Amino acid sequence: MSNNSILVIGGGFSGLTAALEAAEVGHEVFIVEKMPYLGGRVAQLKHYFPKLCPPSCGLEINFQRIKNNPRVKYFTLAEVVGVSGGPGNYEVKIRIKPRYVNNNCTACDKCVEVCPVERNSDFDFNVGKTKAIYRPHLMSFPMRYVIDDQVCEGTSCAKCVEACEYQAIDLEEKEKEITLNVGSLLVATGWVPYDVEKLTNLGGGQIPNVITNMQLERLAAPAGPTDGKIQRPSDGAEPKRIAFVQCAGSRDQNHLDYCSYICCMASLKHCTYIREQYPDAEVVIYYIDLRAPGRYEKFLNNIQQDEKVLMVKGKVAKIEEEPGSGDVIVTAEDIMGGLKVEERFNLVVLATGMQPSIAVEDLALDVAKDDQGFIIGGEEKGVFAVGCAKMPLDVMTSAETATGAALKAIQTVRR
Amino acid sequence: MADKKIGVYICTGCEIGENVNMEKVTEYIDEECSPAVMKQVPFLCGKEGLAQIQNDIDGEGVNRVCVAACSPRVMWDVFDFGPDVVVDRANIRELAVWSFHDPGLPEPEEDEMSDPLTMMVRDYIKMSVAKLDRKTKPEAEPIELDKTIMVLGGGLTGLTAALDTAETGYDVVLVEKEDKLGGFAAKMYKQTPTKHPYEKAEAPSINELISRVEANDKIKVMTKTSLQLIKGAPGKFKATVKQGDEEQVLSIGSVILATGWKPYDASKLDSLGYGKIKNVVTNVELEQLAKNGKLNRPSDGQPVLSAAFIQCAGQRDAEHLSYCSSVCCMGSLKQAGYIRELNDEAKAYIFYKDMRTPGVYENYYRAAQDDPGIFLTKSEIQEVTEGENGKVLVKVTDNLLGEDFEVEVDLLVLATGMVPTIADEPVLKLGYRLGEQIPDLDLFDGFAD
Repeated sequence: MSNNSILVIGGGFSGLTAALEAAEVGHEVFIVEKMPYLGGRVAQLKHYFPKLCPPSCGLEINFQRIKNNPRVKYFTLAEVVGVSGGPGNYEVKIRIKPRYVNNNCTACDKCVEVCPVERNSDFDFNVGKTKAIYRPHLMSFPMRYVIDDQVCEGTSCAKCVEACEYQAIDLEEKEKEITLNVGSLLVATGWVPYDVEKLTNLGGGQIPNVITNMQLERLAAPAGPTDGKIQRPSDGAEPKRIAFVQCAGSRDQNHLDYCSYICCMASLKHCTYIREQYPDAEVVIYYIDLRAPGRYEKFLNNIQQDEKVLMVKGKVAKIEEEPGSGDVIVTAEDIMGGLKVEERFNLVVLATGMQPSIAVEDLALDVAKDDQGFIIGGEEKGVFAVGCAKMPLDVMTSAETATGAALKAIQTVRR
Repeated sequence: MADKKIGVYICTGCEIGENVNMEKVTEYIDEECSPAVMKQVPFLCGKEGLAQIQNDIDGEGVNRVCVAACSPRVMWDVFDFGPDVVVDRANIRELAVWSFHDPGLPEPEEDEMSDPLTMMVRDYIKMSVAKLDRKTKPEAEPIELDKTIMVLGGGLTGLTAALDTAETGYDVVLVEKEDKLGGFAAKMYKQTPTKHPYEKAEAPSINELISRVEANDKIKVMTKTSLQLIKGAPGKFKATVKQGDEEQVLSIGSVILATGWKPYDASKLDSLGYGKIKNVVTNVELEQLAKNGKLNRPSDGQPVLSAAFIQCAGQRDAEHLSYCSSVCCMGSLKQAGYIRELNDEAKAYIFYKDMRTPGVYENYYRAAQDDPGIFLTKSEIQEVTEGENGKVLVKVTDNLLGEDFEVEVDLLVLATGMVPTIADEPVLKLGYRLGEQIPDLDLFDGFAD
């Protein structure tokens, strides 16, 4: 007799979608999420395609569906550490890291006021800071604080414990391990931005005013570290000339072989963020091909109408900082003009690509992957990859693969 | 449900107690709403706070609970007292206490009108009590749902949907208007890669899919069948279908629309030589020629030693199709391979605006770039004319080579785009007042929103 439950590894948009689709036709579903919150990459965006909604929109709907569905159980700060068994009957070991904050937390923020330690915010890709105890983000679900034990001074400080009126903090909480029995597994581990430090010719991680597309999302997000103001990291100045470097790492056999699918649309979307704040700012997009597939063409057309947005076909060869001004000099080829150009910008955005998360941090699950780290097998074992664990995709298509894979998982456990 | 008995529980934690004149709030609520029970609790979401509410439910018969505390985003799971107790959250923390910053108003006086925060709080509670007072629990009305699913369209999408639906345990009716299943996929010589490493075209998988559908006893296949009318509601549809002269009414629960696309009308592309020059064909026509093993020049049956492909033949063009058809770049890379297959010396030229092979399809593009007989360039097409001996002349400007040039080929292939079947006719034929189609915001050029 097959176990009817389904495990979903990863609680981003794909994982949430897959979990809810399976739960809403009657299956017990467990979501295992590594971060202290659900929602994944979408939670970090200002707007997302196809309709440029703020993330709270689609995510909030999914969180409501979780709250109202007793069949969905989720674990945050949790990772799969071992899988045994086979389709219809898997035993999965999950390690749950301590949050150090229990269910008494009312999200009142008193702990943050007294915490003496600051850390770079990973949620903000280091363009913002939080205290060692922090709320993952404004709309985080679960709405519960968490302590970063890499930087927290622990019981020797314990100021937060004292400040908390609700006994919500336990600095001595320990790691736990639980075992779940499920019939099928969905892998929705998603993606990480490609490490810009590897893009040395583009100044990745070296030049302060060269940022990544995901950092720009955080700068533009209303609840982000700058309250939504797009500004230069070096001096907080308003940028007047901004360059986007497409395929920063993608379509490049020295980095990522494949096209990362979303970066063209992301940069076009970022033009709308910039235009909203700076009606006169000039933008140059350096691209190989403008990939606005299918119905997205209209969006591209709208941006092309903007006279201050210039699109140049050509690969950027070099990015350097201009000493003193903080400005950035971009050397690129303009293929159609047959020129080599050197241009100065106040801010450069690298449209970095996506890398499957499990290429960076392996998953404790025996499943075939290609040389780039995308999952290419598992169906025969009742293991189904969805979203960007399978291939680079946008949110909408990821959700479609999630629905499809949920059906496959259901077929597996009903057999 | 038993008589309504409302309990109001006001949390005084999280800065609420210090900032709100509770005496005035409770006095007002008592006067205006007279709840059966009203309490102030210092830590309402804690064990003791919850126990107080539970005690009143058990002892006093409270069955409607107003939780005047934080946002329902916080402590979303603790105020659950079973299915017979209705709970409403009055968010006085985030919506009043935390967000209210006195904009330089004078200190509150005895006159309550000068204490806007307290007024705000009492109004939120009053609204919540009013809701609890008027709410009734909906009674579930069990209806018998029809679990058969109807799939419209027997192409690759419809077949896949039918098979997966059946394999999940549901009965399926698959309706196809043609006499055969398979749609466009069945007319293909090869299909673009579907699996890692995404480098080679594959033999079509459609026949295997068709056999599996035909062998599945949960799927009823109805070819040469057209849909006439869908009436009813989700879970209880009545669909009238017509097979030959015979009409029948099917009871179905849900409909999957998979009627796909049709090629853009190439007769509108005469500026690219279609209809005027014999050796100008569309990508759909080329596919058929290859499938039939007759990939020769239509004019004289001579072998094709060179072919050019014009991408976006109508797509991304406000005068034809304003959108990108997604598949044509991959399609032409595949068809360039057909040309190369014919003869080692054969050449294929692909002229594109942007090469759109997103994601892992980049591998397929790279494989084509590695083929010395396939030439790819971004370009604008200046002119297409007929040359000598049935050749087609293509004049190209704004390309990557820097200067304008002309190629003479045996065959010119127009990579035409797709038009959704639902763009021109109401495929669903809904018998609704709102019209025969699903109401659409028309955001996406005729594709379902």
